[in-house]
Amino acid sequence: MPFAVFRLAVIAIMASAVLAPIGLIVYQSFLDAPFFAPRVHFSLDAYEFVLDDEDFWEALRTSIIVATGMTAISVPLGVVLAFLMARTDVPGKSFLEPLVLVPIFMSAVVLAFGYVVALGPVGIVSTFVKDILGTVPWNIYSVASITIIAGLTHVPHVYLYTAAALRNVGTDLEEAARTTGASPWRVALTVSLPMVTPAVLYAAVLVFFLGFELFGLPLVLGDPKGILVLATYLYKLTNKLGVPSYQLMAVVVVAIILIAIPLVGLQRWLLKSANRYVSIRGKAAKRAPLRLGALRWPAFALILTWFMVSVGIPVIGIAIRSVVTTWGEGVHLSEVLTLAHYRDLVDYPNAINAIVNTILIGVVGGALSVACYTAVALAMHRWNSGWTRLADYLIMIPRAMPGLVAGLAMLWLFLFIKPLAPFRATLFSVWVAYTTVWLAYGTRLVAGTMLQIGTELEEAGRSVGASQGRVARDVTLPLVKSGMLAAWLLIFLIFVREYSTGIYLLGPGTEIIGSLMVSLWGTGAIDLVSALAVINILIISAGLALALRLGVRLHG
Amino acid sequence: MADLVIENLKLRYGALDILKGVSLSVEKGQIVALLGPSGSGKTTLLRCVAGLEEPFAGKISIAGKPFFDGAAGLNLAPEERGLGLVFQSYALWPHKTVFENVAYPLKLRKVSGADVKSRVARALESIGIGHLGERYPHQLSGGQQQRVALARALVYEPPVILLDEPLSNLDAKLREEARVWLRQLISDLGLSALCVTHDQVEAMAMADRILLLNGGVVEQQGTPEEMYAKPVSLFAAEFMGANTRLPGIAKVGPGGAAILDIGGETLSGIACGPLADGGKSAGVIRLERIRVADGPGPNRLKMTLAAEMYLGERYELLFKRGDLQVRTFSTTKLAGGDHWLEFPAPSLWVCALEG
Repeated sequence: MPFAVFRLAVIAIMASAVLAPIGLIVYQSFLDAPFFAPRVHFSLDAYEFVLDDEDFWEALRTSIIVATGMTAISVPLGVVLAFLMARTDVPGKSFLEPLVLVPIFMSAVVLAFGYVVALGPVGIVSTFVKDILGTVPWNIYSVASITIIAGLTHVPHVYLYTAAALRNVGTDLEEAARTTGASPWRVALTVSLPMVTPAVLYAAVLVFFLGFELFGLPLVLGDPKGILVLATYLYKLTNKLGVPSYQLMAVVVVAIILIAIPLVGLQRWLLKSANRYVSIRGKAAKRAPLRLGALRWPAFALILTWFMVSVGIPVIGIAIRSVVTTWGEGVHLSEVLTLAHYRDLVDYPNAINAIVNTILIGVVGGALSVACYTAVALAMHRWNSGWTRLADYLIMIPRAMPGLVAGLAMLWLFLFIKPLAPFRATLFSVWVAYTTVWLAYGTRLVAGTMLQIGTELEEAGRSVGASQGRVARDVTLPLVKSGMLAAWLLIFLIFVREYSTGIYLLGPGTEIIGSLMVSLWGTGAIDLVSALAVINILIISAGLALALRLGVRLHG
Repeated sequence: MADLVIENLKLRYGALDILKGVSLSVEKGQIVALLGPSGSGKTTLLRCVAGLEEPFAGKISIAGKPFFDGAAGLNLAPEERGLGLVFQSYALWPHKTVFENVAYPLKLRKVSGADVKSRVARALESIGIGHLGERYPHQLSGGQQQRVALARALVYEPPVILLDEPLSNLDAKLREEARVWLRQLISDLGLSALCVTHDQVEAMAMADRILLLNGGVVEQQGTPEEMYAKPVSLFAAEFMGANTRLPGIAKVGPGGAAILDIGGETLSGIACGPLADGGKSAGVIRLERIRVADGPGPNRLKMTLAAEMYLGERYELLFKRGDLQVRTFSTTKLAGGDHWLEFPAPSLWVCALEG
């Protein structure tokens, strides 16, 4: 039974990649010193310290406020956006559709830098507004602005699930309501919307959950004013005691995971109840879009405004900042233009390494990751057994770890397991961390395309004499080739965007644009950071353009 | 000698019993049709033979070789059975050409390159699609796809070929042609075949024997003639052919003859299955057996012509009397009003109604 061996081997490898880091974290949280210290004892001191720490509770409170607030902003906006795009004749749909998803693929730190550069106290937009009003009517360094920006940038998550659900509501169900005398708007409110409620709820829980993972935004916009959320509290904890306080960090990670687990569980449960609605969906036929009439252009303006605020302003801001020597009040753009920052990058070997490494990890690492995800998906494909359910839960575990935490766990793992130690300062450690963090997402991408293959095509292979392994090689894999290619592109985009996972692994040989920017921002090297951010945006744009060109769906 | 033998096969999904002990045998060179309504378990039974479903009890063997034995814990994988299976959807691999589709089973069997070429060519030639080898499945019509699926299942000369609703994806005209062609091909090649269908006409036309399944058990089996002329239950009587049902009360007459009492008038017929004297019953008769008579007589009822439909080669007539409705055929147009209908006793089955 060689295929059964393959299945169990894949699941065993995956299980160890998932369980080892989390196990190490839990173990570390019960020690009184770093696990590699000469004399360590089991103790609850670390828990006592963290739970007694005022800052921890303050950070938790802020995290809850931000997560709640951003959910309250992104859900209504996302639903409206989804309804406009999926059901109405809003102009420029084909142009808006990929645009709506762009925030998903933007690095949160890049956007955060962009907001500081554009809307900060002496930002490019701020100084312009100050010239007119005499004052800047907003404060970018506040919980409110973190919440609003996070809310706006998470609109696509809600949009994706709601729009997909709306498209699945059978036309006949809506037409039936029309024939009984309901107006189109009434149908939307009383038939379509209730039917997509499970999807909206799911998205709401997802956004709330992502609120606890926020790192780049609160680090850049909150830290200068001492505003901490859980992830930034963890980050700041590194040197709290002057010595590496691994046990304290481990406790915070345990806290974050304990918050995440019920939320991930809730998502799973909602997804199941959402599937209940699938069985009652009617026939999908082409439907005529609702006519917005006079509201057409206001609707278009709404979408465009949202896009400009959440992506346009920060990206333009950072792009301008990358080509000026300095910025402040009374500075004229034409006098300060320069390309020096980009030239400086060349003299800064870390930056060049970071660019090369980022592309390498996106292209080569992405391909290897997709190969891993394919192996996992293949091992679980059409296999009805307790092992699949177990593996299904295992895959979800890294979802409960924010990238920052996963990176930390990987660092410890490479320190803890001696044979792995030589790889710690290489891209391999970063790749392992990335692959683990995105395991659930990547596996679902590939598994989704595998499920689209008719069962009979594989059964036909078995019936003419091919073993399971042969069927996987000769039928399943060739048929998901294009799906794997699409997955590669999406994983590339995500790996290039990633910044938090690499932070603890950052060192000579493991520089990544994202984590290098975070570390440079701390030193105030804003010129280099803005140039790097623009390069990051350019790489992502190239990937997005290629994806659109190839007709890859930008979501799983 | 029996080629395929199935003994007391049982299968369940969760708490749902799909097959409740099915036995059958297919003799060498025979075509056996598995007939039944949807949900009767016929496709599941076929998939059990192919090894794609796992029963929990019973036995399956082919030419004396056991494939499945619930008691011994034996269950050969589909690829170890060497049977030919034609899927309802044809399941042609979209990424392989017609030639590659048909050649794949031979490659698995390590047939040499030159042999593969000649055998695939022969297989395609024998079913009349020799010129289509380089095409991809999506470039073929439904009928051509069906032939490729058949060629793929036949090319390695399996002892038994399994067909799952082989004609259901073809349009009506093509289906009748394909039926004749398929029957001819299977008997020319001397194959044994097990064929799932929900269409009783198709089953009768193609099969040497029919196995009628109902709710996971075999309701009746026999030659098409037996199935049509000698049903053993109400279900079997009504599943075959086009029928009219006459509700009434059964009376068991002398010598086992059955009498159907319809509101005081009586018709004599043949008992179909066990009958209780005075029990609720139904008379079932094939539409073509009912005769429009010229006047009163034994086994005749007076009914009013309610509707008449012209079908081309004949008329379909609907007669009514109170709640009673009777459909029948006539070659000539009938005047409206009352007529006498005769229900010949040897063709009228009297079956007990359950509940």
